[in-house]
Amino acid sequence: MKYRLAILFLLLSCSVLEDRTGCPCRLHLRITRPETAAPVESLSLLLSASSWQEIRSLALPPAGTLEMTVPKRKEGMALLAAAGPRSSGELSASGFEIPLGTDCPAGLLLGAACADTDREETSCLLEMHRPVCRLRLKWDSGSVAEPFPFQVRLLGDVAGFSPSGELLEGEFSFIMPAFDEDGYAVAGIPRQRADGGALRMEILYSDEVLRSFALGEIMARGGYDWTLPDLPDAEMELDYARTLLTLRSGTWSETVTIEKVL
Amino acid sequence: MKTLLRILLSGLFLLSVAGCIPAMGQKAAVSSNLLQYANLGTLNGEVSLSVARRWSVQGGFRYNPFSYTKGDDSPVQNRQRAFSLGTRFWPWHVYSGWWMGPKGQFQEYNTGGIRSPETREGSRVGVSLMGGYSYMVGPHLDLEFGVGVWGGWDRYRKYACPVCGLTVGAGEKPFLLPDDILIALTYIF
Repeated sequence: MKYRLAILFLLLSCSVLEDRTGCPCRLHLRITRPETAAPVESLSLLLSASSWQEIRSLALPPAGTLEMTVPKRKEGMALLAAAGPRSSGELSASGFEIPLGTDCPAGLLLGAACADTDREETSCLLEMHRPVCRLRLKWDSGSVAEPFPFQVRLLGDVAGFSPSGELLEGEFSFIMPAFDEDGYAVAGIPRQRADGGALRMEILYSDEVLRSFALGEIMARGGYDWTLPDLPDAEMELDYARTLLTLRSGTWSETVTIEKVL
Repeated sequence: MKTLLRILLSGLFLLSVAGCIPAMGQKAAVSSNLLQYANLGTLNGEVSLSVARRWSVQGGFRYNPFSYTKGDDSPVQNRQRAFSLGTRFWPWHVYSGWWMGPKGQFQEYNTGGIRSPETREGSRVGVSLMGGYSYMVGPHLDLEFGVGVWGGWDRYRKYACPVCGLTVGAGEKPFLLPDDILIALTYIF
C-alpha cells in the first residue's frame, strides 16, 4: 500500500511541461560582403563553442540571409565564415588554415562574429571582408633578355585565422611562381599585424638564401595598412639590376634602396 | 497502442491503490471521472471523507503525461497535472442525491497540436465551483454526474509547436473556464 501510494505521488511529481533545455537556438545570419567583391553563393561556416565545433557548407540566398539551428550555449558561439574561390586552405577546427607551401587564396572572403546562443532565437551580422593582400611582383628585366634566375619565397608567422577571426600563428611559406610573359608573379598574403609582422621575402638561388627583406615592414612603412577591413592589392617592382625595390599599391608608392647587389 | 496500454495499466494501478484503502463504514469514498479518460487518457481520482451528515471533503488529482502523434507525425497533447482540495454540501445525505461545493485547484498544463501546432504551457491556480447528482447503483457504488466552472490566475507561455517551438507569447492573466464535466464511478467504503 505504502509503495503504491509512493509511486502515485512520484508520478504526480513529474512535470508535464516540455523540457526545452536541449532545444536548439535558431540563428538568423545576415551576411554582408565588400561592394567590390563578387557575389557570394556559398560559404563554409565554422561554429565554435567550448568543447563543441561544427563546420557547415551552406548555400547563400541572394538576400544574404541564412537561418539555421545551432546548439544552445550559455557562453555564446564564435562564427567564422569563409567564402570565395579557394585554391587552397579550408576551414578546420583551428580556423582557416593555410597549408605550408601554399599562399592565401586571393579571392578569399572571411567573416567572424560572436552570437549570443543562450536563447531560443538570435540574430547576428556577419561582415565578410577580404583578409588577403594580393601581391603582384613585377620583375623589371630592363634590357636583359635572360629569365629571372632566382626564386622568390614569402615567409611569415601568420598561417591563417583563428575560429574567432584573429590572426592564427603558424609558419607561412610560399615560393612564388615564375614570372609570366608580362613579368608578373602573384601571391596571396594573409593579413599581418599592423607593423607588418614577421613577413619576409627571400631571394633564393639553388635553395640558398641570397637576400632577405622585411617585406611586412617595408610595406607598412610604404603606407600599406594591414588593419583595413578589406585589404587592397599591392604591387611591388623588383629591380635587382638597379638595386632598388619599389612598392606600389593604389595611389601610394615607395622606393627602398637595397644596399646589396644581387 | 503502447500509450493505450500505459493508460490501462495506470488505471489498474489506481484501482489497486483505491482497493488498499481500508473500509471506513460509509465514511469515505474514492471516485474516478470516466470522461477524463476520453480526454487523451487523463488519469484521475478523488478521495472523499465524510465529515458530517451533509458535508464531505475531498482531494483529487488529474494526471496526463501522454503525447500522441497525428498522421503527419505532428504531436498532439493535452498534458496536465492538477491537484484539488474542496468540500461538498449534500442537501440530503453524503454520497447520495444532489451536491454542490467549491474546491481550490492547481493545474500545470501543456496543451498543443490539437487544432493547430501552437502549444500553450503554464500553470493555473484558482477556485472551482461544482454541482451535480450522485445516483446510487449499489450499496457501495455511485454513478456521479456533475459540472463546474473555475476561475483564477493563469501564468502561461505559448510556443509555435509542442516540441522546441519558438516562444510566440507569454503572460499572466485571470481566467474563467469550464472545469470537470463529471461522469464518475464512486466506490463508497
